[in-house]
Amino acid sequence: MTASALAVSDLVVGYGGPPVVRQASCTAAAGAMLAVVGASGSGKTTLLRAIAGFIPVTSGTILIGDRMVDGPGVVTPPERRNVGIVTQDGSLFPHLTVARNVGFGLPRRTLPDGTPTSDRVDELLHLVGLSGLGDRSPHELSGGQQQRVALARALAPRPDVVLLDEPFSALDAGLRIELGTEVRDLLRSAGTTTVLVTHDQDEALSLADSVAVMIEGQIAQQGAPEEVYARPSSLEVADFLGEVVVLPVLSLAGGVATTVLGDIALDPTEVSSDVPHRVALRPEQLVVMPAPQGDQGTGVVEAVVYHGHDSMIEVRLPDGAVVRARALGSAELTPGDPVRVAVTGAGQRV
Amino acid sequence: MTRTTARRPPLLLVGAAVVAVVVMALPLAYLVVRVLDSGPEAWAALWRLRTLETTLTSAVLVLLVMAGALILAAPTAWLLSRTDVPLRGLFFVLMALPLAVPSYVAAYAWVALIPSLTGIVPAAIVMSLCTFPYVALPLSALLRRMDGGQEEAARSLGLTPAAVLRRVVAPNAWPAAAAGLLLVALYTLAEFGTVSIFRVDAFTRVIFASYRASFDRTAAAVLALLLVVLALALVVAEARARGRAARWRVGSGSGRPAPVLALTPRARGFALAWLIGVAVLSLAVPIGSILHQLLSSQRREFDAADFLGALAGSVSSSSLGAAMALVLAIPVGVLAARYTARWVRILEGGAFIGHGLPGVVIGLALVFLTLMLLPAAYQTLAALAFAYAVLFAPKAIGATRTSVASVPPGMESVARSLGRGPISAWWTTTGRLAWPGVAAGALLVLLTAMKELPATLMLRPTGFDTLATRLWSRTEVEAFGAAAPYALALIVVAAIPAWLLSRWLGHHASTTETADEVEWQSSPVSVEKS
Repeated sequence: MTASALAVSDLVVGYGGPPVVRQASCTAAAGAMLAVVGASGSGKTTLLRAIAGFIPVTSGTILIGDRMVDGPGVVTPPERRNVGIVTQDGSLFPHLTVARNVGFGLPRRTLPDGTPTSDRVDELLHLVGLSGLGDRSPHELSGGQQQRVALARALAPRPDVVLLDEPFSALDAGLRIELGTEVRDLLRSAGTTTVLVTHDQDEALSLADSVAVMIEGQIAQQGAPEEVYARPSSLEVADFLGEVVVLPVLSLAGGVATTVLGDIALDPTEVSSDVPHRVALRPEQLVVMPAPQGDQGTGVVEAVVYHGHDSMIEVRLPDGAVVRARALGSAELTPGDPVRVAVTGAGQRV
Repeated sequence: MTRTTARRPPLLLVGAAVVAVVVMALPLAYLVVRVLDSGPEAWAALWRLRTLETTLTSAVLVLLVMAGALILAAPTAWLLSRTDVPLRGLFFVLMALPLAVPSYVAAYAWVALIPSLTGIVPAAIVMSLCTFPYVALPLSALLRRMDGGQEEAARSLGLTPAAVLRRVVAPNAWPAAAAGLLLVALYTLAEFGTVSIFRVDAFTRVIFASYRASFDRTAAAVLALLLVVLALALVVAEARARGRAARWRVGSGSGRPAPVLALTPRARGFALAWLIGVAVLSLAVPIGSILHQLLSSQRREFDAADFLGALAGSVSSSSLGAAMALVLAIPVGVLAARYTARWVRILEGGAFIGHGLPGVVIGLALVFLTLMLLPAAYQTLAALAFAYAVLFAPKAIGATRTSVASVPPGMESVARSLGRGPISAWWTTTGRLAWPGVAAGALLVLLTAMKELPATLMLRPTGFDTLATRLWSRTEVEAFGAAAPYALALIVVAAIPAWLLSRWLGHHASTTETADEVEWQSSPVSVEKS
């Protein structure tokens, strides 16, 4: 996974007004899945469409393998990029059967290597779990099946990169997770380099090998899912990827910050001369226990929201601030209970 | 559309609807009986060489007009919906406007300009120029709302823009074009005035001639029945094509907007030349010719009293026809809006018998029917108005059904719970909210009936004239100058529904993307000509 199959550098893309993508850079390793995640309007779909060649870029470069497809004086039309795309609603051709949809990007009868096109189509239908449905019309399939057909169609010409534009967002929640995992495994075993664009941070963190967080037209941070979640480069990134508990720092010494919840180790430990004002934690780093009899504890339970697999406990601290802690299962606490709050793991300076 | 199926419909409503459908089906039923009664004579008439000739002539004419309409419509629709050609708004209106020129008026205008024009090719060209909006309007609506994602996916799969047009856009657009083309075919098959002016021996002209000249009424009846069968086949085919177009929607429908092509200056020149050329041939030439006749004819050719008499004739017969159509349409429309049972749908289908039926057929059937059952009614205003009612009631039914269905039935229940009786509750809620739509339907019947020609010629009382018959008789004797005021008046009459439709289209186009679909698939007031 050394050679990058896709490299986007300092990309600027716009529709005439102020640019939507502003100096964005990211890379995808060969055979890996890169998730570009961002709020709606952050420019992630524009970035994807620029990679596909649907919109001209203002400046910057896009490399697919070692081919420059966009760059100074270079514009490659979409049909010569060898990039596959799967859109939110599949964009299947309604006038063609499923098999003809899958074979759309292939020669009519035989492939260059001499095998019949129909063999490749059958192979792909088998790959996406739709064997035997080749003669159906797209409108006879469920939403999830349509997305599988769209994926098979995109994979058929063996593209260098497959772009997935919110491919699961039109599906219901259960199917979304199931199909997402299945598609990821399928693409990984086929060794296909993939870019997944999504607004759903859970989807990005659970599926991708690398996550790029897009904020206001720029890639704010790219890294492995665990890294961007645990060591976000900014409060915006931290906030986008999950809930954040932000505590003011009272004093700082030797890579340890003292806060209202006690001492918290900082990560990274090296501390620059300027004193950080705040430290960020994830709610699951806070452990809430009932205060012993007669002890006032560090706070009082404000509310408990039960989600089944976990509970979110809101604790009011003596300084009036409210922090949120996540506990597995039911918390066995009721509003008004005095509690102690401990911190596990390291915090982030923000 | 909210409907209730739990309640049984009131008996009075069902009775009225059944009577209305029976009354509307009567003329056609009588035509069938008349043909079956003649037995061997009818059989012999069917197998005459002339029947074959007529069928072939009509078939060739229909195919030529369909081809012409497609050639005019496809580039026009594509340019207006998929390119940045200048003045698109203006050209879009110009593309719809030929609907406001009844084709026999256009035929008159062309013949007045070039008196030597006769035969099937000029007839086909003039009718193509008048009917191509039936194809161009749904086609441009479809091209505009097509999911751009499909075209992008095709590009990613290695297709050039030209290949995308051929392999993705054209097959997607075909069902919409096909439905429009079948409307064109139906219109061509039923058209009487144009084929007569250009002396094309298609069904309508031959039927009219056999009825009038030779008193060979069995032959006329046989041909009329054959024409009905062909027209019904087209009506069924058109409904199926529309159904297919509606089914072809895949995915959540939240696709990308269709791409718009930026034209090079050279291509823009060609595009403008095409659009201007189509507008000149379909609008400027016919209207210019009429105005030329009007201005160059000598003053004494225009007889104001004659004109006012014909106008009064048109208004009186059409108003009476619209009133009759409303009486027949309301029970059927209300029933269809509120109840979904299978027999209700069959009843509603029966009421659409006049839809697409050539005027010459209903005219002939009513001639037979009045002579046989009620000779006193032969060639009376009542018989003429009844013909209008049968021909155009489907428009009023559609309007009634849509208007009533848009009122939630729950409102009536609320009115009942507030202490009103059933009739008072209906009248203060559903009736009050639905009547503007119903009235619009009646107005549409009135305006459509004013343009009707063949049935009017066959059924009008002696000495009674309408705008259409007056245009017809003046054109027959080549008194083109005298005909011009009537031609102009008919264009004005026809322009009103087209104007209403375009306003309605404009209103819907700005709201949702499904508006176009609603428009072309369940339009309560589909504008049709003569």
